[in-house]
Amino acid sequence: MSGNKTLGRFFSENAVVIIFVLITLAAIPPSGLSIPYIIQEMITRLGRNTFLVLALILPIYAGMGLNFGMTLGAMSGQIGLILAINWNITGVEGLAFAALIGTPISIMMGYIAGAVLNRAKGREMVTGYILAFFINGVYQFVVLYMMGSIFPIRNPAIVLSRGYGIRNTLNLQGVRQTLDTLLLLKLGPYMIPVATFIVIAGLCVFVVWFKKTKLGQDMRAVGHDMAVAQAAGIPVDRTRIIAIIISTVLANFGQIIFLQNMGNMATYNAHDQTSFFAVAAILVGGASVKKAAISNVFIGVILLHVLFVVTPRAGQNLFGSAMIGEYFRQFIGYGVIALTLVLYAWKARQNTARARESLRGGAAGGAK
Amino acid sequence: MKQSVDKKTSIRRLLIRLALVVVYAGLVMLTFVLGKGHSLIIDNKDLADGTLTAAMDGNMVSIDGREASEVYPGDRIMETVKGQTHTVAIEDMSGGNRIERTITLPLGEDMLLVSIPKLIAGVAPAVEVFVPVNVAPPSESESESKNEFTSPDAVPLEPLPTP
Repeated sequence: MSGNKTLGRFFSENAVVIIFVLITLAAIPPSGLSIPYIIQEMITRLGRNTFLVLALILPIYAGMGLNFGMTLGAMSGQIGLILAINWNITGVEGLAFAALIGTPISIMMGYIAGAVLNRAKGREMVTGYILAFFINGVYQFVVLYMMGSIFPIRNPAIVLSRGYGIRNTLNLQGVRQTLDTLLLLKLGPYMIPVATFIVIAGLCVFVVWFKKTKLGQDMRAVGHDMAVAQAAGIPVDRTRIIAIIISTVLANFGQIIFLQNMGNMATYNAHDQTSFFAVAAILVGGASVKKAAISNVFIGVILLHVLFVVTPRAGQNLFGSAMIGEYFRQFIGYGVIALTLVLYAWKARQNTARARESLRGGAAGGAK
Repeated sequence: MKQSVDKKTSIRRLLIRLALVVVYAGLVMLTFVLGKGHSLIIDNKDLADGTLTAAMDGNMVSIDGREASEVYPGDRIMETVKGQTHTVAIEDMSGGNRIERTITLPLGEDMLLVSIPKLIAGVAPAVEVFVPVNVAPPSESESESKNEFTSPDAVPLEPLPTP
């Protein structure tokens, strides 16, 4: 009986991961892709996406949910890259330059986002999502109208033919895969971008270290109960703003790493899906709105991207159309986010009911 | 007493913050200088005034120890480099004489022309800014040309005699 209960609890707690593993395993054989190919794709995609997903951990730790506002950091990174391309700064120095330019912008954006989210406590996720749309408008105004007219752009290859505004797609030839190829290790049939993984490992160490600091402990306390943290003298609003600033700055770096791997940049919509896929990945990895660990990030990125790699081919082979797989990819992304939020709400309601019941039981016991 | 300590602390804090801003700006500048990319057009043409000519049999030209390229008289090849100081190694394909020259590129320029004959002869400046023909601004006299669809020095055609 107790074993059944434990098993049931395990399934309910890991429902998303289990569903995903099952779907992924089912999709691999019809895709016809070889295991070495899938492994190589996973190595590449881990390097490309993990940093962005790791940026989500600290806001979850601080009780602010999934930071959909990380898009703001992604936009900052893109502005840094546009300027690096404009001045023809190449190589790893180009990436460092873009990161250095993007950092103050992302700090400012993170501060704005944190201040707004402090005014929308309890509704951080939807507020962050909408805030990203608003800042997207500002970004488009800056990049489409101000660059080339107010901010001088010297590289004619990136300016629209009308003389101002940046082209729709930028070729990142000068910085393309410079981090990935900085230390490339060939291990059997696999190419491993060691430098990228060192950067990711560095961030993991930072997250583990940060959680042990005073500020990290403050964030944990704020995430657990804001009222108690406030009563204990922790500056709740300031701590929450810092969590969002760190997340936004990390998203800035993450977007630069992502785009250097891709090798080109869709100027006006590269950042659109950044938060969406990062959130989907961390949720697939078993994180929730209230709890996330580094392991969730790696599991999530692998599971989500295995599915992304195999579903178009599986769709092609099973139904004769790769579009079915593409549709499935979108459907899975949104579906996972919805499923996790529903499960979270359901569990929260169950926990409340259980607590109420135990309180009643305790009161009855006391009366007896 | 307390006020003076506070003032000291605030000044120290301000100085540290200013130092951090300076260090940050320095880092930006450092990445800019180290990562600045240039396109080099290696030009093996005779000089217009005829004072220097390209080697008859051509040269093997290598930049910063990269794989050498064959550059014959009249050829132009393009190389991309990062940073401002580079070593150009030129080897005569007939005699096998090899010389090495260090060139320094201006930070603000993206595209530069490196003259091989000038480098071999040690004539300065061997590196010049390259302005592509299609974006070169027309000179005063050229812009006065009334015939907009031909080159400025073109001879206007006589009207055809009517039959």
